[in-house]
Amino acid sequence: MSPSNSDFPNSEQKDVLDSTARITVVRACPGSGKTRVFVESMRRHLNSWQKKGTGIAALSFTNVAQEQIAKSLGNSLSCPHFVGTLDSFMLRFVVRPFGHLVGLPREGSRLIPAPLDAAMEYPEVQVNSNHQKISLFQIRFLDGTEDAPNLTARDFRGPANIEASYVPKILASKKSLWENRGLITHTDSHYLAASILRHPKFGKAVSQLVARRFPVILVDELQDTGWFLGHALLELLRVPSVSGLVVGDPDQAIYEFGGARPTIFNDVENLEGAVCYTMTKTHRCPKLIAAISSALSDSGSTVSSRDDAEDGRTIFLIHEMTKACLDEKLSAQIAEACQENESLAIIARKDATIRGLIGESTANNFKGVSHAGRRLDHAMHLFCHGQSSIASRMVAKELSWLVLKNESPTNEELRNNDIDIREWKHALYGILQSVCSYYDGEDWNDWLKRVKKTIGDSAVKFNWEENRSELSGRFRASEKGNAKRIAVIASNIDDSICDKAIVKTIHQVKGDEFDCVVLFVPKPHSKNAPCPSEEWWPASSSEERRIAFVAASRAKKTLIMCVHRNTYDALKEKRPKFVALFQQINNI
Amino acid sequence: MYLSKIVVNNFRNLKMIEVELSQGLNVIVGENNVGKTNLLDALRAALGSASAFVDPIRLSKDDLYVDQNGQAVKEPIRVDLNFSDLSGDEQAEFLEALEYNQEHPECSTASIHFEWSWSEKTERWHSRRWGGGKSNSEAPVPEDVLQSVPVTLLAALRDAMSALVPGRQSRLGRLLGVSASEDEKIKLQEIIKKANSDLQSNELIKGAEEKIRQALKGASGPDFGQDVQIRSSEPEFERIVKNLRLVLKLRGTAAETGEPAIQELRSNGLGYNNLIYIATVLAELEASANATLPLLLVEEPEAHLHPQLQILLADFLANSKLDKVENRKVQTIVTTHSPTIASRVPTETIRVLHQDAVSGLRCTCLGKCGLSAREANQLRRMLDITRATLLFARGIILVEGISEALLFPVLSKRLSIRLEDKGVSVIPVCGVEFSTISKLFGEDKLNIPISIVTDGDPTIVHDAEIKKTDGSNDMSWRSEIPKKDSNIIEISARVRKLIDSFAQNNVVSVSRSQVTLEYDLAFAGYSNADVICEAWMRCFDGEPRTLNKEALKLCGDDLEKRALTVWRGVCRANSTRGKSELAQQLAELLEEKDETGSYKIHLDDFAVPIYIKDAIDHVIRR
Repeated sequence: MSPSNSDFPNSEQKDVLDSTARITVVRACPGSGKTRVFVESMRRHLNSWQKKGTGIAALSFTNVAQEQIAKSLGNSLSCPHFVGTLDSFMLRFVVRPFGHLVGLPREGSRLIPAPLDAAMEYPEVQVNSNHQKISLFQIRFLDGTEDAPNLTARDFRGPANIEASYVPKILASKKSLWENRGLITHTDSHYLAASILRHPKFGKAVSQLVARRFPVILVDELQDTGWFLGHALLELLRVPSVSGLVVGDPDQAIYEFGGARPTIFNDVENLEGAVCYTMTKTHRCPKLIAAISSALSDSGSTVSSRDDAEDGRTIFLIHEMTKACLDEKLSAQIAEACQENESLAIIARKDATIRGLIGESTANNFKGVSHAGRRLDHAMHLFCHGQSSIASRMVAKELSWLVLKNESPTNEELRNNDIDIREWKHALYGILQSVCSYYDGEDWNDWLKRVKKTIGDSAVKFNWEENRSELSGRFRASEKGNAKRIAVIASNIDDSICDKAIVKTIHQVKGDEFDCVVLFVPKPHSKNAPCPSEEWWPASSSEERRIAFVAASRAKKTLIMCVHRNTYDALKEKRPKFVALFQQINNI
Repeated sequence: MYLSKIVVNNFRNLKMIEVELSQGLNVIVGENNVGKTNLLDALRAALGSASAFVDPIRLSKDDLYVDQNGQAVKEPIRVDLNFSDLSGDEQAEFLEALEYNQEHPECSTASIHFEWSWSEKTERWHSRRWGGGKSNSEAPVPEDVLQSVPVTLLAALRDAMSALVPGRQSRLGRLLGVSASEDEKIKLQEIIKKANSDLQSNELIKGAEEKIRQALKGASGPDFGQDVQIRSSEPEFERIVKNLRLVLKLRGTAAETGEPAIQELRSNGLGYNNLIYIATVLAELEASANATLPLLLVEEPEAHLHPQLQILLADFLANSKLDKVENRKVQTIVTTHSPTIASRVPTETIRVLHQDAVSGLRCTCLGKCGLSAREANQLRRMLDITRATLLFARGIILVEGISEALLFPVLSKRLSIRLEDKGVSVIPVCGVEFSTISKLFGEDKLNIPISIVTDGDPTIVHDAEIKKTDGSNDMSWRSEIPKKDSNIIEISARVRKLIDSFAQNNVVSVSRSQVTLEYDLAFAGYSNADVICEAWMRCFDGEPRTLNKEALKLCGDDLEKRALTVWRGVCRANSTRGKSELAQQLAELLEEKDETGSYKIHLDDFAVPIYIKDAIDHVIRR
């Protein structure tokens, strides 16, 4: 975000903006104004832009960053320029036009967007010698090469272990799915983009063509670029006629699970004509917070605040909650530390923690064995969180399976089956309403029965030849389903603070900044919630440490580290220097 | 880059049609109602409002193809556009519509597809547009790509005047707009600024402004009152150029000023204004830096132009003075029924839209019929003198000369067939060079039935039995006779070859006489020779010695002898009158009717030769 305007650009920023290197690589610490530099660089290009039919590609990792850029540059960004995520760029300009060269159908492909892909449970493929099967749509490309990629998989049951010897078969299944149905997920698209641009035969020609359309490529948040997406990007940057600016912070790489590696900086810096710059001055963090950030820096680099920066406030807040909850006492402490007119973010590592804090029922609390039931429950959560279009597509899956025997029909196919799109939407909304409503005393089996009836009734309207046994198979009641279905809304949440604060995960606030940041760390648990005292100073993978670094460096004035007493005790013992960086230690 | 192919399905009268186009000029000819305008509209619909300069086309369910039973088809309207010859930059620009050629990347093409469907049930329409053949990708063609292919339509009922006078739609304004550099824009603005400031200090203007102000004040009171000023135009480039006007410069000079005299456009004729209009638009499109492939669609450019001007316009379109064809950016598609224009533009630019005898409407590109350059020139001359009628006909009879051309309509009328009503043209090729024109016809070319009518042209020998009075062999025309082989007249090698070359062709039929038209006319019926003789005698003031009643009488009842006599007299003897005069007189004679309206020469008294009947039957078989 924009630091104070007074001295833009400072000498570090000026060096970057004046760089004449073909590829300018910038390693920028949090708050060093990299987005500002990015936008300024783009503005300079735009001002002198002449070539018709070609454009500037301004690529970032998140939609948030994209919105920021678009906002700062205003209207001048329409075609032929492209401002968007690297993912959508590759899909639009590489995978869609050239996908048929690597096995997608000539007629094109359709993207199953996240999180809808999670609802695609078939076709399944065996992934290990334990006979474990998992949906092809849940298998992601992590890293490796196009011929021998490393895959990961995770579905509603949890992660699945993919044995290396199964990879060729899985890959073949994926390819046949692409070829026959033209359905791809985001991760497929990244892999395909890399396969096209790195293809020994035509990769170079295609890269040159795309580079001709976008002779200037600007990339923000390079550290979070996934493995295959990153390799596709490298091919474009390798084309000699391309010039570019690539900015990011290896210390803020927090998408390793998606295949992102901080080492991509080295790859870009090794390109011919690449020159590396650093921006180490933070305009955001006051001195004390900069010191805490430095202590968490994975690369060991120092985040230095400006000479005229304030000290800032750093507080350790010790809680004794077993379950995260933004109750009155915690709220009071936060309210005391944060001024009325200051922006406030309460952030946590995990989604579940955030849900706990704001007192929402957790996702996937469906009890029963019906997959359809579980998916519809998930759709309800998406719907309640504003993702109505994805939610309705998930509902549409269930309905179209009955009516058309096809889980993902296009609007074309619906029309061809003489289905009125308006009536279809009404039906979907009716089902969603039924899915979302609560009745006193209802258990999950009752809910399932009710939803089954709504779907069946809707299907009949679309000329489904009624066959209730077909439905019963999908909506099977079970012993588990006797559990009561209760709307879990905690009563002890302090609304006043919820209204004021942004309550999000660390990943969601990446790139953002707030006056006051509360990092809430729940009670450590030996199984799935390791103690920060170990996680943040790891022996090997440092992803968690980088996440903590991102969290700490969001704060402009006040950083409140809210940890459980056990964590505090462990930190005090193992990391006394770190604890000493905090001015206050408060108990709730 | 250019638009190389349009395929239209289910649009208005176009059930399915494929039209191949080439760079620069394309002239689509065809009879009325054949679907020329619909083709242009389909193209406009396919590119949509993003590419439309003025009014985009809006489809409704009435635009769906209606079958013979009056039922609108269920299938969607679909238009596919293919673009070829893309430069590297153009490939990059059209990435989203690219059809990448892996083996020969430089040969990659681009395509834009449009589909419009109507749901009877919901009474709603749905349309989509996709690029590069990727019909399933649900990714539309970006509007920016469409704007690179701007379409300008000069409709048949165009209002040339209103596009040339000042105003929002001013074409002149557009031309100036696309041609001006930033500096030039500023200079123009300075001129108007100065004019405005001069006006401001002018006493007359000041006085008038004051009068209006007073009146306004009286009408609306001091609170609602608006202030007014008199200015030429706001000193803003766009507005200035839209307010400029084209005027005609006259040859003389105005008496008072000594400046060249000028005249307003409205005093000009519609025809000339149309020319000015088309020229302005073409210049503007060539100059527009913003467009990659400007498409100019001109309906009936001949509107309001007399033939000589049409010729000039055709030359201009085909061979614009603006630039060489290969450097030309604008691709022009012209629809016309003007034979003048069709006969004037290069034949390879002509596409004939016609009803195929079997499969309905089709479009044939004359450039793709396998004509050599020499043949193409020959064809062009042919089209020129025949007023290109063959391009507008539903059936064609190619004959050797003027005699056949004169007699065919008359003979067919006597067979109760009016060739005009059937849309059949009889075209004399003035010789026997049928091969060039007939190359245009075939099941995969112009699928219009065509009959080639030629003479058998047998070798001519002398009949040894005919002696002079002195008993020696007569070697004059009086003894000439077609050579026979086992009693059958032997046709020439040329005719044999012609017949053989079209033996497998269902579109082209070759009919031939045994000897010549005159011989075969006389041979067709017993009294035919008498009628011909009558016509021949009408050609002369006295009695001709070449052919007369006496000569026929000598032949007795022998049909062949009578035919030979007619043939020798008309075709072989050296006479002051020729075959064409005979044809004139014969035509007149055969058309003469008495007061009751029946032919003076009864139908029975003049039989039509079979080969002529066959030729006519072939072209009207539809």
